[in-house]
Amino acid sequence: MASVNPYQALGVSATATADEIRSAFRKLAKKFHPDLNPGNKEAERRFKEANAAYEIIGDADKRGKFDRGEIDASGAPIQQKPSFEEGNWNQDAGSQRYYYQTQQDGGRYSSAFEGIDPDFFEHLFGGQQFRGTRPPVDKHYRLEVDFKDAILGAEREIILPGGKKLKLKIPPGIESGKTLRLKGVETEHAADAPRGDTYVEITVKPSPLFARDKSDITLELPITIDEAVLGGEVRVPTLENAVVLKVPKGANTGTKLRIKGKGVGTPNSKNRGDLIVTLKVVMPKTIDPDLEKSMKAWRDSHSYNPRETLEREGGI
Amino acid sequence: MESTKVYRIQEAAIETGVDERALLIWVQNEWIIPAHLLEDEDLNSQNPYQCEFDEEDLARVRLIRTLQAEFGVNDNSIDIILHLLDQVHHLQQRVRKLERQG
Repeated sequence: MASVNPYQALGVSATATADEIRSAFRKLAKKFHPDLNPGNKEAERRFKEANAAYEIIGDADKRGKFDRGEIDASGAPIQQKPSFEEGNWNQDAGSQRYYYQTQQDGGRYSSAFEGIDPDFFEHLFGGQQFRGTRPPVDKHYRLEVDFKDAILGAEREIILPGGKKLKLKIPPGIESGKTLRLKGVETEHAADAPRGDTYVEITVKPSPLFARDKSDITLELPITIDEAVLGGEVRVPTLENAVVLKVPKGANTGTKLRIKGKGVGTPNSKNRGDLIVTLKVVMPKTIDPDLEKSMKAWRDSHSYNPRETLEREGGI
Repeated sequence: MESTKVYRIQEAAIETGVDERALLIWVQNEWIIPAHLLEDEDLNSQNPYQCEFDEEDLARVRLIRTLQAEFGVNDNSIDIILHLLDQVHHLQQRVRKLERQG
C-alpha cells in the first residue's frame, strides 16, 4: 500500500516542521476518519493513506531514515512493529472494528431510533410502518359528481364528515367507480396510528340529455320530417355552448353526425373526444289534412320500398 | 452478527486502553449504555462494576477516545456527535432496506 510519498499524502513539503506535519495529519485524520464517514470507502482509503504516511514522517527517527533512503514509505526494509502515538490508529488490526462497522446491520445504539418521531420518518419514507404502532388508517368517502363536471373536469369544495372543507380537483374524463387519492389531507387520526391517505370514490350522476361512450358523448336529436327531407341547420346543445349542426338532405332516423371536440375531456386537454348526434325523425303531433293530401299525391308517383330486404328474407 | 462476548469494566479498560474511572464517567454520562443496563432503568442503583460491555460498546469507547484525544472534541460536544452519528447509521439502514425492496 505504501507507494505514495508520505509528504505528498499529507500535503506538506519535505522541509515541513514536525508541528506542521502533525497538524496536517490531524486535519486529514479528522476529515477522513471512517467513523465520521460511515460506509464511505474513499474516506477510509484516504484515512489509511494519511495514517501510513504519518507513521513514517511523524516520527523523527523514521523520518530521518526515510529522508536518507534507508527505509521506504512503508517502513521497509527494516522490520518494524508499528508504533502508535497517543491513540490507537490501527483499529482494524485484529478483531477490533470501527464503531460504524458495529452499526451496519442494526446496532443497539442506532436501533434506538425506531419509533421515535414517526412523523419525520413517515414524511421521508412515505408512511412505512413502525414497530409498535398501528398501521396507517385510511379514510374513504363517496362523492356524487355532476355529469358535466366529470366530463370536463372541475374544482369543487367538499365538506368531509367532521366539518373539514376540501378543495377537490375532479379530473376531466373521470368515470364512476374511480377513486381519487388525496395527499396531505389533515384528518383526525389516532396518536399512535400514522396518518393514512384519504380516498374519495366518484359516482357520476347521469345527464338527462347526454350519455358517455368512452371518449365521446352521445345525444339523440329529434328532427322534423321537413328537416329530414330538405336538410337544414339545427341548433344542438353541447356541454358548453350551443352549436349549429347541418342536417343533410335525406337524413334518416339513426343517422349519426359527429361534432368534433365536444366530447370527453382529458387531463392534458388535448385529444378531446367528440359529440355524436344521432338523428331521430319525429312526426308532427297531428297529421293535418294538407299533409295527408300532399302525401297521397306524392305516393302515387314516388314509391319506394324500405322493406325490400325484409320481405325477401322473410318470404313475404 | 455481533459476537456474544461481554467484558466487565476492568476487562474493557484493558481492551480499549481507557482508564476504568473514565469508563465509569462515560457510562454515567450515558455516552455508553452497556448491554446489561438496558434491563434496568435506574442507572444509579446498579453497581457499576457489574456493567457488561459488548463489542459494540468497546467500539464506541474507542470512538469516544479518538474524538477526545485525537480530534480535541470537548465533553459537551461528544454526546451531540454520538447522537448525530447514531441517527446517520439508522437512516443508512433504512435506506438500504428501501433499496432492497426496490
